[in-house]
Amino acid sequence: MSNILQIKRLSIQHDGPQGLRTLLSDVEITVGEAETIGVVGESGSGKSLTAKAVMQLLPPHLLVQGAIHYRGEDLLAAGERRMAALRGSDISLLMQDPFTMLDPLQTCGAQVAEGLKLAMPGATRNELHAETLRRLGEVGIRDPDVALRYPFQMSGGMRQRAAMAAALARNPQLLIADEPSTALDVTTQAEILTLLKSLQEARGMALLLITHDLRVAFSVCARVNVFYAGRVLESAPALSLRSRPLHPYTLGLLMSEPALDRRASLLAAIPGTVPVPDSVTTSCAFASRCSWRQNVCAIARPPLAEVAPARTTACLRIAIIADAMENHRALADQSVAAASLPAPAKLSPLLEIRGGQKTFDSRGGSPLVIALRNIDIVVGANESVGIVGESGSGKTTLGRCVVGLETLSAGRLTLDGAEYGPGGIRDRQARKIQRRIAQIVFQDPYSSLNPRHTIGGTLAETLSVNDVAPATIRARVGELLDIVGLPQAYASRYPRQLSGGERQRVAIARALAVGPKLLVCDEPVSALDVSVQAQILTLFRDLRARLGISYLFITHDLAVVRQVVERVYVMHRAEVVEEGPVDEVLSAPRHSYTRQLIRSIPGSQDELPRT
Amino acid sequence: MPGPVWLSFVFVGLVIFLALIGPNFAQSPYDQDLFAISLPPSGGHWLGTDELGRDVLARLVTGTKTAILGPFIVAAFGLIVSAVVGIYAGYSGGIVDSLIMRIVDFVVALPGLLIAIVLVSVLGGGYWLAIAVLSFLNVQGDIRIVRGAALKERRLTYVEAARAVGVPPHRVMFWHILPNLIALLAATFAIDFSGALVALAGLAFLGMGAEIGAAEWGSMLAEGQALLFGNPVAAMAPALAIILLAISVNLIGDWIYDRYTGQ
Repeated sequence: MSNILQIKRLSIQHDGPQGLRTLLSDVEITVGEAETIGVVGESGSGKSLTAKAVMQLLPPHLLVQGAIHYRGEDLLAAGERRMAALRGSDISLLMQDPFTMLDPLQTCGAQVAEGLKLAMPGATRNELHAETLRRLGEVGIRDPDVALRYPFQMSGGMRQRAAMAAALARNPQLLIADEPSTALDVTTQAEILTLLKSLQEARGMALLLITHDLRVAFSVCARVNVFYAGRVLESAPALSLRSRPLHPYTLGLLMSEPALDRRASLLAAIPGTVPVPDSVTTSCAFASRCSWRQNVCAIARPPLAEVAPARTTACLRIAIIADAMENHRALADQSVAAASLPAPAKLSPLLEIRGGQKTFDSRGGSPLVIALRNIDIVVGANESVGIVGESGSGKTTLGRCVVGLETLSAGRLTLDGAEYGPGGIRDRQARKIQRRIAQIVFQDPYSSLNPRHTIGGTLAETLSVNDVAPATIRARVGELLDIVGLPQAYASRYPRQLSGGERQRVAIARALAVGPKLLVCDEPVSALDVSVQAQILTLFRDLRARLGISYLFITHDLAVVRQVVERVYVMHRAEVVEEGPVDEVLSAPRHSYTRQLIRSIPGSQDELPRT
Repeated sequence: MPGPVWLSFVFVGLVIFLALIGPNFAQSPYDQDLFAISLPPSGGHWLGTDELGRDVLARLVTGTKTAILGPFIVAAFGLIVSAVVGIYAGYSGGIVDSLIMRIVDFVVALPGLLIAIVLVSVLGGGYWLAIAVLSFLNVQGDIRIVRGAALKERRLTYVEAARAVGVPPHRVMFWHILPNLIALLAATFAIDFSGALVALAGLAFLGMGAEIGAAEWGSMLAEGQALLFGNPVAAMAPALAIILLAISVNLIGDWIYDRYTGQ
């Protein structure tokens, strides 16, 4: 099979005030005609940069070396004029956020037609219009009225479909899709991926899929390249990569994916955080986090070498450690199987919501927005309960009502015996008591800490506004950092000096500083890299065992929820549609929406990758 | 630091230095020498003399203090009042916000400089009156800018997180939100300063806001017009000083803004 795209020893350096900083080194990727190739990596691994390099859409001040061959032509040597001719007609790019990718001032039909005009020179208006509708039909938009809508009038999934039709308008031979499903809800995600795969097959084009989600890559790609800190660490056919990874990082990634079908007794996390590419130019990029590291790993950069047919790895010691890696995984699998849920005891309720309603007034005479409708929820003392649902299901509003950031419009909310609600007490003193019982951890650790305050300052302030004696605050800050597993020296650091996982630990410490009995966790790991997710989930489990607190765990991720809760409520359109022990709900869902959620997880139907 | 910014710092530093101790070194700005009027630059008078034979350099140096004091007061007033009122309006929202913003809208809708001219001339001139009127007119736009930024900041999770752990509103406003607006306030200060510099010079040019005969950049510009053919430097020097100072302050403001916001 001939290759449509071949990236050879691609290196990119940033030429800035601090001198040359490496962003990407010696990346090798090959895409055959009509092949689907995956690029998997965590944030900052250089995967999007690679996509931009292929399109020659890199920002200024970058030094690019190596070669990118498209059907034998070196794109790095091609001029801007040649690239402009290739973009869209030969190579097309589909980006993560369909809202910023579409022009907000043009209808979705017009955006597709714009590409079609170039692909069909001399076509009449009617022909163009008919072809636009046909193309929208191809991506599953059958309603001809949609062609007249503007992006803001469409849902996220619809926008991504329209963006796909626009990207494919000129019949490209190679489509680069950069996290095409990440910004979407779980159920929409599955539809978009299926659509992408079927389009690729029907059109016989090549697809380079960039994603942070291994499950997504396995469900769609024939071959997967694993990126880490600006390098390719391993490249292999999807099936064999999943069954027998040949790099410790790939193994770590596979093991940190929380299992969907069981509760693991021990969540495997990769210790530490992803290094910046520039700091690991003279060693194995993964050396600092690898449990099989030896001196040889730290003194030189291992090249990507072929170790078996069609399999390359950048691990120098793979021949020696392959068996140990396999044993490690088997062992972890065994311990996973052994985990069981704590026996459901009859617990006294800590939080109880009966008939909870929340409506938001909207302006300008449009109808009320109903965020919560008739919600009944109970969380026992030292119980961990999950709320699962997609965006707009009302799950976040529910959490905000529990901690007092919002008030219910109707219904009863009882917290530790006291009632807070529309009819209940609602003064400053009550709010103070509510806050001391229920605290919240937010989704995005990058915006939930004040960038101008030190970590210690943030924690000390929380303690002091909650009446902790000034003399003991210093010691208490140290204790809190200890509890969440951060060194005490972090007290003098600013949020920007911390990684995402570390920031989330600080956010948890801040919530704990108040001394709550219930912690509302609103998507606490969804903004984190996979290898760090498991660390934070493990911390949640530890904290519960040590402090005896309860959790209301709000998430869209069924695999995550299974690892930390005993009971789960499934929310859909402001209502609870199903509830029960998490194992029962996930293994034998009764409501059709729950079934749809479970089916939507990539790989859940055990679709095998096509080779 | 880019070259132009560096030069701006040097220039602003020089102006401040001259404002503080300059008059001690220069010749008297008021001594007339009617035998040496409208002379071009020479060894005795580096920038020449004006139509009353006064030394232009001495007048320029003496005027420095007046030139920067007024704009500084206007900009500082804008900074402090807009920080307090703007953040309060943006953070509180609701009726308080609407009320404040309607007042601001009303004042912004007035033709500012025209009102300043009318007020100052009707109430009988005076440097301090001009500064007071400009301060009041100028702060309205600042409030709008700061309020918008506070509104944006308020939606960020760190504000919500502070509220969730019980940080009282006044602390959220001035301990959490304010430090995140420092860059914006610095940039606004710079724009206010150069705006007020030009506006005050303009008033003085029209014969308002400055004592007759005072060494003031705006009035020097007006007086210098008459002797463009004898000593063009007499008009060009104050004009150049005003332009350079306005540009320098703006460049420094921009630089601080970019630095703090990481651009």
